[in-house]
Amino acid sequence: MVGLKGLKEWSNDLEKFPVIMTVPLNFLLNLIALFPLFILIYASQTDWSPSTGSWFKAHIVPGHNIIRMIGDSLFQTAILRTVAIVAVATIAEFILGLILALLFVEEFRGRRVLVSLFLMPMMVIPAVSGYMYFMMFQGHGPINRILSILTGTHWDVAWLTYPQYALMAVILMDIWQWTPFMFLILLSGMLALPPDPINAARVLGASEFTIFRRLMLPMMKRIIMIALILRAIECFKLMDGIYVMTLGGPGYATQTISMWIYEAAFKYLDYGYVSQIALVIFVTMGIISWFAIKPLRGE
Amino acid sequence: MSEEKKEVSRRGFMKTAGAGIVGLAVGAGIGYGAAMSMAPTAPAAATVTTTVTATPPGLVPKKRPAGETVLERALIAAKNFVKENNVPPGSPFNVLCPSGLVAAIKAASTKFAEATGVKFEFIGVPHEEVFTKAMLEATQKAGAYAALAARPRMIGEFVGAGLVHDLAEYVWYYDPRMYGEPDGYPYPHCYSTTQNVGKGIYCLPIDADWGNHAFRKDLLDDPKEMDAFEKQYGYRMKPWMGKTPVPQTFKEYFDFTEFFHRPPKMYGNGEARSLGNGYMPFFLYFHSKREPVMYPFDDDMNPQIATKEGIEAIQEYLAMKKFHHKDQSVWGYTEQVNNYVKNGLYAGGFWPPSMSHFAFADPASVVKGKNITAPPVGRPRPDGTIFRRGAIMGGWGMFVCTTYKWPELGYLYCQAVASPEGLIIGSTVPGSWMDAQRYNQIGDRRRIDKTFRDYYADEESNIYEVSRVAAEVCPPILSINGENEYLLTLDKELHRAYTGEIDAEKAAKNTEAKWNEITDKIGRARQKSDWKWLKALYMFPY
Repeated sequence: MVGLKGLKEWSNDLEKFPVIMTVPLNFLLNLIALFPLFILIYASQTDWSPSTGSWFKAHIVPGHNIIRMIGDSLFQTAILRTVAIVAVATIAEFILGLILALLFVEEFRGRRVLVSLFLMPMMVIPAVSGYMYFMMFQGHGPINRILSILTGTHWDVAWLTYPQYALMAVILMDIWQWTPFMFLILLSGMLALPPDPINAARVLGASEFTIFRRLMLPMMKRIIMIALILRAIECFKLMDGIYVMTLGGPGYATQTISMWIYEAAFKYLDYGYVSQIALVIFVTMGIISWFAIKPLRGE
Repeated sequence: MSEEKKEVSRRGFMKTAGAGIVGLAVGAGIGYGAAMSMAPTAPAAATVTTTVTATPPGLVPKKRPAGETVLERALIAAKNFVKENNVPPGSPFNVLCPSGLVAAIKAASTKFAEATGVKFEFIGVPHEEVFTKAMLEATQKAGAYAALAARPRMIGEFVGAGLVHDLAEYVWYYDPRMYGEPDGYPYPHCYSTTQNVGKGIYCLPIDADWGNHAFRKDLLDDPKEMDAFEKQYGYRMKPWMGKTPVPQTFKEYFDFTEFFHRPPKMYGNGEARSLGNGYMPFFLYFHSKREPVMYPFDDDMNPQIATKEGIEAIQEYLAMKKFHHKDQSVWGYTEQVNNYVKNGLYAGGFWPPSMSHFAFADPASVVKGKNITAPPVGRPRPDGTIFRRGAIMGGWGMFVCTTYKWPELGYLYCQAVASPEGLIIGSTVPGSWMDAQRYNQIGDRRRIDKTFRDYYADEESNIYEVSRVAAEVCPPILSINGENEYLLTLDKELHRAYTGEIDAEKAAKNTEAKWNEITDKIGRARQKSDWKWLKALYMFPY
């Protein structure tokens, strides 16, 4: 019964036993995360396309996809376009969300109902909001009608057929849908602020603006960072609304990086190349997020 | 006993877990790769249970299978196959198809289900998603589908990915009546929407979508309108058949469009210009630029899009913009049809025949009975005849997946659905938008009544002849690997030009560069060989 004795001794080793007991779970968890990553890294170094065979039969072409990516103007434009959308939409959502949060931080009659109403766009499925905005920006749609009423002149613009207007419409859709998210987070942050410093400042005669600028904003720094990072990451992945609204068009005018990846992968079947792009974006986003979160870690 | 508490070393833990993970991951990777490489390859297509006399397409094999009609042959053979191969009753038979074809395919599958006892499941997805779903199956080889109803323009990628069976030997043996009257597929159109990649036959067509014109007959029959037209342009249009004059040349088509362009109530032209659809009518302009046909590539796979004729074709295509509704570039067929049916928005257009299904289905249609079909417009020859070349607006075909256990049974199913009898069932069932594909469908009164009667005011012979000519002057698109990619690229660049982002020449140059890139990626030698073979199948009767 040496084996049993050995097992008993081994299990009594308090250093090893707990570690070994967690290995299966750790293995599974890491496998879920790492195995696709290994495949992604491998695929990124191949010319794999399902239309020419299975992934393990694809030619290994080290560095080829990176060189291709550097020279790919469509990819670069899609990245720049996405960054522009993220910057404009996230900043606009933050400003609007902050204004709304300031308006709703004090209790008033009907506040709960209004808060629920303001949060509703966030609950709409992005594809549905894409279709709503597709309809709204039609030549005979409500946007033109409203503008005609407001200005007293006949508006007849086919918004989604012009590259610059279509991009604007896409950004508006994102702002409409995700400002409530900013509002929700910022309002929660404001409601969680300790009242004493604010009350003390009021007693000492500080103006509301000074209180906001000197007290509230610094105290909310963390939550603002988190809200901006979360929203920027989500906005970077923007796709479903655009897919329904413009299909990335006119031409490539509203093609975000997610749309571009979808098309390159599932229409052009460039799996190897897309793996390379996905890897680069993954690493880049990781680095950006690391730097973005860094200030929070020090406090 | 010592109470000394031992700290679990983080480094030790990470080392143990890390070694385990890496070892198992590498092992799993190697194991998966090995398993895939050693996995039995999908059964070869040529597993016909009866002795096959390999004969070229169109020739009758020496020993014919039992059954007089195409459907009978499929059902009898399927019944025997099930018996001989012990296919258990209720065996799953999954069919991936576009949602709009589920009703038609389901109805056409009933007899096959009765004969074989297989259990059908029809997986309907939006038609744009069929390609994605099918290619995911090609990557995963999960055995999700026995058969696919997919666009023939996807055939190149399907074959390249090993997703679909070569059905050539089954076709030769079971004779699904490939082409010719009275109930075959129109030649040479059948090759446009079917089957061939290289020497293989990969699908049986079930829906055609050759483009044909639809014009407002009430306008063309109005003597006042026609007098005014003659006064403005100095000639009268002539009828193609019957009595109603219709545009027959590009010049007449442009003049007609300009004359009846009366916004905001009616726009001259309703050709598609949206992403994903806009490239289809482009081939109406392009194919007819050179006799016998302007192909997208020459024999060496050099793109012809940026040639003088190619750029001219793009310019003609773009010139229609001034007669389009301002939202034309964002309207898909649904928006177009709605606006046409409810508001009579267009004077004419070049559409797939299925447009009429929608118009027919809508009781509020203001254009019911006010339309006439016409074959593709052409370019006049010196001898006075008109050189016409049409365009494929889509089409669908039945494929057998390589992951399906019984490819022969899969083929027999496709033959049953695509048989002259099966297609009549499919195209006349309520809720179907299956267009005519075979000669017997084109002329079938039940189908005409369902599809056209309330919509078009044509004489019956006109409907038949328009469909026949539209089919017969339809050149192939690109049934070679990369077809979907070539067309997507063209579509994008045309759209950019249409919305004013770039000019026709730039669109042509961009397309040319990307097409060359796609060809090189897949392999120029292979592409040249497949393209040459495909082109060799085409002969234009007129």
